[in-house]
Amino acid sequence: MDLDSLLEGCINNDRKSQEMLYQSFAPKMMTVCLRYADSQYEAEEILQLGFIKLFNGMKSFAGKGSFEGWVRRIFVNTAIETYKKKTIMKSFDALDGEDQTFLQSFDPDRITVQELLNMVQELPAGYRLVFNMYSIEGFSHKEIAERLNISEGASKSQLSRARTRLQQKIKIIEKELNGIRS
Amino acid sequence: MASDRKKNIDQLFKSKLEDHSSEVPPSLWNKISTELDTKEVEAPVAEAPKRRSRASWFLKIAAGLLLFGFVIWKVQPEKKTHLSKEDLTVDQSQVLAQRQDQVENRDGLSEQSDGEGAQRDSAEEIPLQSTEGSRPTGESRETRLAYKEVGTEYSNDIPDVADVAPSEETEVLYTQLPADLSQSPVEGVAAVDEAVVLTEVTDNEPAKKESEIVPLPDSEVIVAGEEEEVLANSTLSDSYEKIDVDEGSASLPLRERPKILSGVLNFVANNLQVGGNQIVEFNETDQGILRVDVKPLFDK
Repeated sequence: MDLDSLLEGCINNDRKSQEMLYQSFAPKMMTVCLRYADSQYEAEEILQLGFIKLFNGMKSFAGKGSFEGWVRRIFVNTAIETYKKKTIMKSFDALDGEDQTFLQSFDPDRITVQELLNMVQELPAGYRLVFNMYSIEGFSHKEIAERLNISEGASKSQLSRARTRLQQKIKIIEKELNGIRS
Repeated sequence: MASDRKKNIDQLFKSKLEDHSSEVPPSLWNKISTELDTKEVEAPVAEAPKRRSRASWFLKIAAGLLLFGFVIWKVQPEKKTHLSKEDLTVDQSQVLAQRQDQVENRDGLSEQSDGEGAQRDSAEEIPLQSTEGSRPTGESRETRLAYKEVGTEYSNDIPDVADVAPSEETEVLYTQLPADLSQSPVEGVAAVDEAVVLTEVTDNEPAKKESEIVPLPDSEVIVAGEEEEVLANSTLSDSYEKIDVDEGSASLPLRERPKILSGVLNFVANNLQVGGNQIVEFNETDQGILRVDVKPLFDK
């Protein structure tokens, strides 16, 4: 079954087509949700919400551009909304702390994806949100500021702190890995 | 260097996480599926028609009120012009004059009617005045609609009425026959010639039948005697044939108005009202007072 007829089925509320679409997109979208969520449970909630939105808003997919990109945006937006509902952005101070340290000898392949995902999840909610939006989804600081109702400076500051945290964590993991080797 | 490092770490996460697939708990689809089911049932149906029905509800009420106002305005003034005292007395005298031409016992009848007019007035006016202040007192017994209660014994006389007074006036007189005619027939009864329609109400039985109300557009009815005599012109005859014999409404208020106005208003109101619940109800009393009952709008 090609994508078009699958989408047609989804628009007509055909449960089989919807399930097929779900099966093909759920794993990737789950990663998106996990990035934004601080727990597996929350990620599942976002995923569920996102698919409901997706199926209900199926008709509004104009057919232009990639369908996957459209789906991804739905999930990212759902995640952002969930975050905004849940958390009051706290202490978005515009202070721009430069990241001091970065692991010089860094081999990304030695760290698993799951570990990276865990690192992101362990970030404070505000850091995590801005980091996801900027570094992975590719929002600009201006867009982030508008979406989250914060200043651009605050967005930059959050991003910077998020990176610092992530670097520290990578460092720790590197150390552990080195220790295991030696 | 700092920006490189930033890019590095961003790149690291992006490349590894962007297209990564994670494990999804198998039960999740069932949750989504059931949620989709419930939403299909509940969501898309309502909302829109609700608003529309609200708007139309207000429109209907507004239209009803407009119509109501128009009817009241249309009906009221005519009534009052006919009720003015002078008109009535003139009418009556004219009618009497006509009648006298055709009556054999001219003198006796006219005397009797003159003499007894006053008595009848006093007897008849009590119910009228008590309920309708605007109603003229004295000799006026007119309304725009006439109806009659015809006694059984006199039903044969009805066709004869056709010979009587020609209708020169467009007004319709409203007549009523008192109850005690049968028991205490007055001189006038005997004196009246064929043209005079005598009507009588027997008071033996309680009223199960309401006296039939007949609108008499062109007819004149003259109340000549104390209570019993009625003169009607020729156009009355048709109407009379339709009149049911009244068997026993004597003890009741004899005069009953046709409830046309309230009937029309109720009909309109019923058709305008939403959902089959009658919210506004019109009632007309015997004295022509219109009562509007408004039921609680939000009864449910």
